[in-house]
Formats: sequence, C-alpha cells, structure tokens
Amino acid sequence: MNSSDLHKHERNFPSYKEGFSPDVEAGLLRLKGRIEAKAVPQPSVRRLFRPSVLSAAAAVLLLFTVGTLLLVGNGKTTVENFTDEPFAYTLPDGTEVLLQQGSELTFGADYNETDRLIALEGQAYFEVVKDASRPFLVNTSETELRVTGTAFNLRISDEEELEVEVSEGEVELHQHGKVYPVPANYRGLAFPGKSCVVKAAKDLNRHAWRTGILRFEGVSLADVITTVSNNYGLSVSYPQGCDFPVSGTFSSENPISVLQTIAELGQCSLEARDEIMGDYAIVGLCE
Amino acid sequence: MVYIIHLLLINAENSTLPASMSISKHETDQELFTRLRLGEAAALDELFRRYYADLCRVAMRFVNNEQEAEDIIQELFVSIWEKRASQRKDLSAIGSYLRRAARNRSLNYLRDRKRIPVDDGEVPTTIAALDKADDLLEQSELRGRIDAAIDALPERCRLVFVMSKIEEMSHKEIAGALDISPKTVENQMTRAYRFLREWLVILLLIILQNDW
Repeated sequence: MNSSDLHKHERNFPSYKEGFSPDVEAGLLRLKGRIEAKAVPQPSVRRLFRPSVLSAAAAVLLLFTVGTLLLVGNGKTTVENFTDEPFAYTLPDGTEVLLQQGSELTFGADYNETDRLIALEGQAYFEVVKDASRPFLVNTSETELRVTGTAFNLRISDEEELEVEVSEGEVELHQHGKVYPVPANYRGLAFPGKSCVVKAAKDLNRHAWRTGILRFEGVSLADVITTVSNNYGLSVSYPQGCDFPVSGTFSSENPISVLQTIAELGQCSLEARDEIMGDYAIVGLCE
Repeated sequence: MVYIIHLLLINAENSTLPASMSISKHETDQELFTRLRLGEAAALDELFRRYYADLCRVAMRFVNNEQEAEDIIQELFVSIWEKRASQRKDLSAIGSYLRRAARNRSLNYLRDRKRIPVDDGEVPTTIAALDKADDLLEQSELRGRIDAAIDALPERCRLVFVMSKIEEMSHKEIAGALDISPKTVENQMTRAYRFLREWLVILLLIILQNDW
C-alpha cells in the first residue's frame, strides 16, 4: 500500500469507537439515581457554628434556627440533632458523621489522643478516617465497637441494642473477650445479655434513612417492619399472625409510602395512629 | 419524632428533580442551558439525550472500556446538574464545551488510576504478538478492523494518535495532557502511521479474501 491508499482509509479513523452505542434511556435512569443519591446531605457540606463565639441569646436562637446544639462541659462535647433533617458533623480527626434527626453524639476532650472514643444515642452514618494507631471506639455497657478506618451505619437504642452495618472496610465487635469481625456488606448486632450476631447484609438496608433505598427479597413481614421502624424511628403494629413475604426495591425518602405499599401487598392498609409520635398500624384481613 | 415525620413528608413533596414544563426538541442548546441553570430537571434530561451517546464515545476513545466510559460521562452530567447555578451564562458552543469536559475527565480518570503510560511500549510486529489478534481477525467490518488495529498500538502511541487524529487536539495540548514533550508527540504519530500503514495492508487483504 502506498501513502495515498492510507489517506483513503484515514477517512475511517474518525469513526473509531463509533460502534459503541450506550443505551441512552437506561443511562438517564442511572443518572437520576446518582443525582438522588448525592442529594442526601453530605458530611462537611455545612459548617457548625461555634457557641463559644456566640452570646447566650444567640445560642438560643441557634437552637431554633440551626437546631443543633453543641454543649461543652466537663471537657465533653455533645452534638444533638434537633433539626428535622440529618446533620453533617466533622469530628476533630476529620471523621465525618451524618447524625440522624433526634440522635446524639458525645466525645471527650481527649478524643484522638490515644484513641477515638465516642458515644451515640440513636443512629448515625460514619466515615472514619484511617488511623491504625488510634482506634475509633464506641462502647455500650457490654460491647465495644472497634474501627480503624471504614464507613458504616450505627444505631444504638435506649435499651443498648447496638446494630452496625458496614458499607466499606471492616469493623470489630468486642464482647466478653470475644472478637466478632464485621466486614463490608455485613451487619453486626449486639444486645445486652446476648452474644453478638453477624449476618450478611448485601442490601445495606440500615443505610436507608440516608440513601432512601430499601431492598427486600422474600423477607418476612415482621423483619420488614422491624427494619423500617428502626431505621426511621417509627412504631408500626400489624395484626397478630399476619405474615407474607415482601420482595421489591423501594426508592423513597418517605417511609410511610413504603409502609403503605407493603400493607397493600398483603391486602391490608396503613392507618396513622399518631403521626406526631410516628405511630402507625397495618390493618386488614392480611391474606 | 415530630420532626422526622415532617421532614420526610416535606422531602417527599420537594423531590430533588422537580418536574417542570415541557421541553421541546427544537430548543437550542443555549436555551436548554439557561433553563438548566434555573434548575429545570427536564432541561438536563434533554441535554443528556442529545449528547450522552456522543460523549460516551469520546470517553471510550480514551479509556477503551464501555463501563468506565459511561461512568465518566454519568459523573460529568451529575456535576453539570450540581453546579448548574454556577455555569457560565455566555456559553455559546455547548457541544464543544461538553466534549472538552469529557476529554478532560477521561484524561483525569486515566491519570488517577496511573494508566497514562510512562514509556513508549513495543509495537507488535506479527499477528501472534498482538494482544488483541483475535479481536482484530474476528471483526467482519472494515470499521471494526480499523478500531482493532488502532487498539493494537502501544498505549501511549494509541492515546497520542486518538487525541490528535480523532479528537483533533493540538500537539501542544497532547504534550501537556500526557506530560511528554511535543517532540515525543510527533515521534508517536510517526510510529502510529507506520504501524497502521503496515496493518492496513493486511486488513485489506483479509477483507478482500472474505469478500470473495
């Protein structure tokens, strides 16, 4: 071939990879999913005002406007989320926390000196900065959660039920001298007086309050109700003996509409007992 | 508890992507961009439909992987949506702006994954030495064969060739993007041509054979 032949075929060069035709409508759906997922408040987006530079009156105002109050006493810092949406907070070591509404996070002045000990009441999502020399610790009376650097959802109830669901890396639950590793896509559950349980959690449903996505594959009604109520801080009753398998993916920031759909699966309906208290009931024949 | 429920109800109403008035297919890119800056999700949809496939092909030329190419362009559109308020008002050529963004993102993607080659690599001299020999021979169309021949170039050579001939970037731009000298860009172009010329002979022979 001489160079003029090559020039003739050069016309074909600009069609390089033109054969690749992605599915545009499927791509658009995926894009919406990505945008929705990112619309969840990201840690470190908002900055917390420091009460030390504010007058008492301003602090009160802060309580009602920002709603998250930082209490400093005994060298301890408590962040309580009074607002009506998840609150992003960055700990002194750069660890990012997304605190659910009504939840409370406490840490001492010595946080990040030899270790990184925090206490949690309620639910939060953590992205812990990697630092093997200073473990990140959360204690209940019997169980200790130990982390070096990873991302997970943690819920600690008033009854000291501790539930951690790991989305990245691995955490450890320490209880009575025993270690229970909880890797990514697993869930660890600790309850006073009981041994820790570690289960697969590929759907990461415990993150739903943050991601808006719940996935069930043939899960019993009882388990679905527990998942939704714990996650969003609701109390939901259902007729005794009522059980049917639930399958499906729910993408909604509104757990009430999810509960409605689930109730309808079993020919039931959802009734609000007390919306203010988050008290709901599934009623009906349950067939 | 009060707050949780209220928040959720409010969120359900204010969906992140508000529905909006209809967007016509005849609106110019500029009109779409103005509506996008005002936060109209439908304008994003229309821009996406107009440019997604094209931009994915741009990214594909760089990363040579369909999944990765789509991911890069997905992230580009996410960022356009998130930064909609700060987009320039006077953007005239939306298409070339988007293509440039796709090129930059693809190059950054390769750089972050240390996939920008640091040496020239060996040019395969026999069919057996080709990594993608099977790909090359399985292609039934000329276009597919030419794609496979370009893919058979050593990676640095392929990137330089693609950036220059297909993406029409200047030698200076290419040198800057790949952190090499303009002289190296020229050398790689010469190599690419020599290789493609030799391979095109073989390719054409195979095609002629098949056609008979």
